[in-house]
Amino acid sequence: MIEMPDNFPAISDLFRAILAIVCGAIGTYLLLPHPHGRIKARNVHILGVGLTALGLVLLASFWNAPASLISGFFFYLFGLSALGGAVLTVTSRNPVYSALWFAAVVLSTAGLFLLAGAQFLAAGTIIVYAGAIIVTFLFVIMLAQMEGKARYDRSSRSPAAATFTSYLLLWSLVFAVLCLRVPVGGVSPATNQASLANRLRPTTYLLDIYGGQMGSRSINSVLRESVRPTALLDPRKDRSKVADADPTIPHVAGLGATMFTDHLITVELSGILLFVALVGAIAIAQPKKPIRPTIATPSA
Amino acid sequence: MSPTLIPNMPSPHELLALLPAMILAVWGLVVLIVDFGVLRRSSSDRRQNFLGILTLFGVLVAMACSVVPILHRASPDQFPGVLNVNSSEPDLLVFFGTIASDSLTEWVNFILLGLLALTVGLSLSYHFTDQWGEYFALILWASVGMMLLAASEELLTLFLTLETMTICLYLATAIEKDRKRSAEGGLKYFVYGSVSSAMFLFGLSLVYGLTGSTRLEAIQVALSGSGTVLTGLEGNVAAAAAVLLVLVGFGFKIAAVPFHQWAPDAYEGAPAPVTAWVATGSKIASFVALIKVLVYGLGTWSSEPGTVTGPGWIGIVAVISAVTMTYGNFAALAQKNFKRMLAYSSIAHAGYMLVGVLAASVSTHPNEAAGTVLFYLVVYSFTNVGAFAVAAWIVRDRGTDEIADLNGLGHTYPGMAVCIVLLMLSLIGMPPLGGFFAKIAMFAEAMNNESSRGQVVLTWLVAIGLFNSVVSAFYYVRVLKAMFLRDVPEGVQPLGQPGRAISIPIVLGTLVALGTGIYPSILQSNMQGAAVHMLHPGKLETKTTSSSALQLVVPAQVALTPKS
Repeated sequence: MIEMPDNFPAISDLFRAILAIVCGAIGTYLLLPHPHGRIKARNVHILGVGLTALGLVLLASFWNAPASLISGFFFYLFGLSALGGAVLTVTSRNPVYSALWFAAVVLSTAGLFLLAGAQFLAAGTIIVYAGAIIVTFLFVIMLAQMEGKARYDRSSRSPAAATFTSYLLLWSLVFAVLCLRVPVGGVSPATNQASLANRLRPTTYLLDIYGGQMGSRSINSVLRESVRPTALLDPRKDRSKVADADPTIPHVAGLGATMFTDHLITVELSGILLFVALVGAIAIAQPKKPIRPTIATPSA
Repeated sequence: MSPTLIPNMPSPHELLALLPAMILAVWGLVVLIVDFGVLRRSSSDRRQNFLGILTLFGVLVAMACSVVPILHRASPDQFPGVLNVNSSEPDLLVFFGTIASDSLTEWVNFILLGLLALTVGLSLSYHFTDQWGEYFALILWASVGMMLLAASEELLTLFLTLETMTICLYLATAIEKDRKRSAEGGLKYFVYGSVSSAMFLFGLSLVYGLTGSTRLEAIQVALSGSGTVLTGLEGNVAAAAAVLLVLVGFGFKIAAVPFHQWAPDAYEGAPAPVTAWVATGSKIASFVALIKVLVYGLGTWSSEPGTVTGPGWIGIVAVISAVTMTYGNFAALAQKNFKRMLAYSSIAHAGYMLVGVLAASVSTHPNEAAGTVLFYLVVYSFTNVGAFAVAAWIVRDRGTDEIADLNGLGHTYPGMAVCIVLLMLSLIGMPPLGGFFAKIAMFAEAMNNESSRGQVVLTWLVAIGLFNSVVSAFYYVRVLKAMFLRDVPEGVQPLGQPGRAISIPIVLGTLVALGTGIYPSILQSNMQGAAVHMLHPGKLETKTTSSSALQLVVPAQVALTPKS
């Protein structure tokens, strides 16, 4: 007999998870377009949809009941609409609809951020993605004048390998989650609970270790800021004596202060990264011979 | 807004630590502006020469800035007024623990800038694109990514610098638009790279969830906080997933075996100078970051206390290392294309270096072991830049890069041929050359372990490594055979004069191989001194009292005369 670790999931759970993954994999494989663009029979599609749905239902059976009614309701509302929007984004035939469904995904994600208490992130996501990026997408789609489905939409290259790889990844994630999960009825063995608590270390735990004496002061101060809700970040803080936050300060200012001190290099580096990507995209997208004003061709 | 709203301005010391990177970042813009401004009507050749020399000038300025702190550290009395940072001060983490500023980053910056200067010089050797402004700017910005990647002490910074580096390299790989191979190589590099980056980011986010911080020091404290130093991954599936995903990311960047598929195509497709930079610069930076994250940050997960074969990343890395060196060498045996052969050989070298990484993790002399990895990286990089200069020579005059194109080189250019012989012998690891001493020092450190922990595994790995070195001799010698035993083929245009752009990297690579072979101890001791900061970043003393903790962080408040 192989000795199982303490937090190894129950065999019935494991069996259910394997069944879900296998059903989903077969269903997705059947739903993918034919490698050579041939038309698949209608029954194959129906079977594929059925199997994928069965896999989803089996996975859904692992869900715990939501903790609190209202927030749980909204969590599932936003979460499900984000997932549904994502599926429709990749399956819509019209690219314009894809872009609009993507906007739905973004809005739902913003809702999830809001539930997690990250108001600024929620607003930023809506402004940047739903506002700017989607509009750019729509302009590109309209200007590009796509007609009909592209070749890569009608056929899929090595669908078996793709399905296998992606479901293998999903399986390992499901397995990891099963190992960490506390079963529904609360009848989990004590070791499981303890190991879970040992595994996930909130920042406050680190802060306890760091305390006053240990570690470098800057990391201590960064940790202290990161456990504070955005609304309580104080832009006027004095790093040497971190006082209690004054709730009258507008919190975005506090967020900005944290970003441009604790994470200054990170912010600057993101700027460099985006700029480099922009320059590179233009360099690569140019035609073979870049058009330059030469002496031979008189330019305006 | 009143100035009180800005709590901490970066101190001059912090800015000085970033000076070489900042110079390169700004210089990339200057090159771009000059290309589209002053030179917009010039011919492509003129722009290549002018921008290349302009870029070289910026690199040399940054190099001068990076050499000052090294010299200062070596002899503090020599620079009383310029850089009055007392060398007895403990080394520092700057910018709230995100970037290291210690002798390791100074050395890595210096080495990277030296290699960058050779790469930029090599770019002047032949004409492979018309977009010179973008090309040189991308190469410069890739170097910014590499320098900061090696210096980063925080996962988010690490990821962003890694992306800056690789995005520039994807684009530079695809910049030769006249050849389809270039676009193919660039696309393969990009597709593999973006998938592995996504996995890497997922792994980093799991690490953050499991530890509560993105700072490497805090991660280390969180994992070993309860006193147990080694826990391994027994039963800890979330941590195992995190480690595996992080290994996917690093494995891609260093081209270790399950994630190596991009390397031969990207190396073959990219213009030779870009290949040189992908093979050397990105490897140095990735290895430094790999050692920092795995050996320092996630060291607690390396293995269980008694053994290394149990659950833990040491077992995984040992398997990857063995497979990487064996596969790389045997695949290289079958190659006829010079650049593909070098690509597989660089995969094999990554395998050797992983042995050193393991040694740094299990050995009782971790600093010495990590130092030999750095030493190996330096020797490997300079010899490889020389080897890719040979590839540039072939492609310039023949348009191909087959080993057979070197036929008869020993008769036409005996001086250059002897240099190439020395480069190849150093890559094999023949005794009087740097490659030998680097390899032998690394394997010796792997064996020099006073505790019995992991000794069996490391002995096996060293044995596989030595066997592989013998195998590697076969394909490197094919180059020598082509040069000396074959005649110049009839009716084919022979290789022309190498010119300065090609001969300087070859000769300099040879000199480094010879110099580190004759006096290995100078570089080795410096690298081992620098490696201390790779395994214990940001501190020299143990964190015991608050006063010493203050010294670690508060930058040396000394009069810094701004360099102009």
